[in-house]
Amino acid sequence: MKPTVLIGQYYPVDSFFHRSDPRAKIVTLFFYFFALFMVDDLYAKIGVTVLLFIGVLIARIPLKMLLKSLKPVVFFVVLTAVLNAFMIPGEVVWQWGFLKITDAGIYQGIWMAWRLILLMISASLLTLTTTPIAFTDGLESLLKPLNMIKVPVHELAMMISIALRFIPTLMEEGERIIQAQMARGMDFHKGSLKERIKNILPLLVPFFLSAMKRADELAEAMESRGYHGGSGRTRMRVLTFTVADMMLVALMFVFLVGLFLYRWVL
Amino acid sequence: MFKLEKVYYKYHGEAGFALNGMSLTIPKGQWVAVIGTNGSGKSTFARQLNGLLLPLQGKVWVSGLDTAQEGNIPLIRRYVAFVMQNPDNQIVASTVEEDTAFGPENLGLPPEEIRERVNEALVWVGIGHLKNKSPHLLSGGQKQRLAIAGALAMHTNCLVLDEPTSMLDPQGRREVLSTIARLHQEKKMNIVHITHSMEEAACAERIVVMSEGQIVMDGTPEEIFGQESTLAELGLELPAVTMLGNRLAADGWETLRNQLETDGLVEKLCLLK
Ligand SMILES: Nc1ncnc2c1ncn2[C@@H]1O[C@H](COP(=O)(O)OP(=O)(O)OP(=O)(O)O)[C@@H](O)[C@H]1O
Ligand SMILES: [Mg+2]
Repeated sequence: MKPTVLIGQYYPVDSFFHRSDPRAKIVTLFFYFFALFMVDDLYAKIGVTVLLFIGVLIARIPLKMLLKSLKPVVFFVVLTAVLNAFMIPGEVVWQWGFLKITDAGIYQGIWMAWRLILLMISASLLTLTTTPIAFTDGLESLLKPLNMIKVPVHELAMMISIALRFIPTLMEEGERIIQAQMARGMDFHKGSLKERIKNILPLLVPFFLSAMKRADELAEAMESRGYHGGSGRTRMRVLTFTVADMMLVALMFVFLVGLFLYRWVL
Repeated sequence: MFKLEKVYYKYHGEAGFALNGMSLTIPKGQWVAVIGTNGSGKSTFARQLNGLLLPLQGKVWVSGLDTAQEGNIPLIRRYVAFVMQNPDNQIVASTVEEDTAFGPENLGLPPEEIRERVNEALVWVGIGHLKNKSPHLLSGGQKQRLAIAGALAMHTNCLVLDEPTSMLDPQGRREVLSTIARLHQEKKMNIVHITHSMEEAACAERIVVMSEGQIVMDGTPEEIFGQESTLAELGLELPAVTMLGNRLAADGWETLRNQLETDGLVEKLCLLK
């Protein structure tokens, strides 16, 4: 009973990606997303697929973990495919009343769905190989220039890392409140929709009250431990951008440029 | 290390004073237990000790630094660390070692020194092997020791603990109490331990009893627990061992009166004819 299959589902094995600097991985992923949206012909599509396949091999993540990360989006994948199949004009292959599927629609639907899958898998490749702390550290470091236009980068990163820290604690608490209410005879699986919604209220109220109390105490604890915002604060874990990290970003960049030339110049 | 002079404090919108002219001096290195019924002002007192709350009237000095002066606060937070009742709500980071590093990081220390301090602190409290674990997987006693490690890594010399064991099981209580005792003996730390457990209070060098925002009794555990009737009037009990000894004493075994430790009582019992 550990619902940790969420954001930040770090999968601890040793691989090139696990050792890479989070900033390099975030930038590479960003480039890859870019590539996914630039692709239009079959060869390029095969290219981005093969590239991700190589990435998966390097990361040494079992296929099962990757498939698991697709679970939450299965619905959207199917929806995307179906909608595209019906919407795109082309040669009709099947018709029922005003509904018709076209050949171009099928092709486009499959590609759109496949692209969504590639997107999810590449994103989980990042979260599976990066600890939440490394991830927020990397994000903070990358976004640091935004400080100049008054974006509170440190505060945002701190908020994300505290949120990640409290997800398991709050989940346990939710579980406890549900059990407490069930012990008082509440049944969450019976009754009309209206009744069920009404039943949620006794869960939400204690949950939010307790979360507010936690927030108060956490603020006091952080203050007591000398927290005074990001200025003058150092970190125990220092991010180091190695030559290998540079190579990773550079290779991805070359791929992206290649794709660009292939599409618009050649 | 702490000096309070006629401190008054009232929460916003409350009618009565939570601290009602409280004066107290705690010398360097002393282990003080603070007891009192619910709402007697113990937590409010604790929050005065590192400037989380400031007196409305009166003064609080920490190592000679006035808490009312804003410039003193960063230094005071270095001297005084806090451990609170609910272990979950004082853990900031998602691994044990990162959480311990939080304080030293705020001090702006160089990374190598932070790592050194963190490793040393975690080993000292006995959870060095858990340093890469997620804190929510620790037991209650381990979580409170993690909070103590956070204080150690700051190299503080005072630790204020507000009911640190009240959410723990007996095993966790023992772990935390023995860690407190070691902090006092080995690290010569100033300890202010707020507790509802008379057994835990009896371990301190000095007990301060609070009632309605004031100090009503102050003395060694022997002195305090020797005044059963005064304590009873304040709604407080004796430690179970003392109570047992005193009962037996009332039945004629006078030597058993005022025993604070089980071993002591057993020894006296064995001497009986
Ligand atoms: N945040 C607050 N806002 C308003 N009043 C408060 C607040 N915290 C405490 N009080 C009031 O101040 C008084 C002293 O409370 P305090 O929490 O210091 O007592 P305590 O001795 O720590 O009690 P306990 O043993 O229950 O922890 C009480 O009357 C309480 O109701
Ligand atoms: Mg209290």
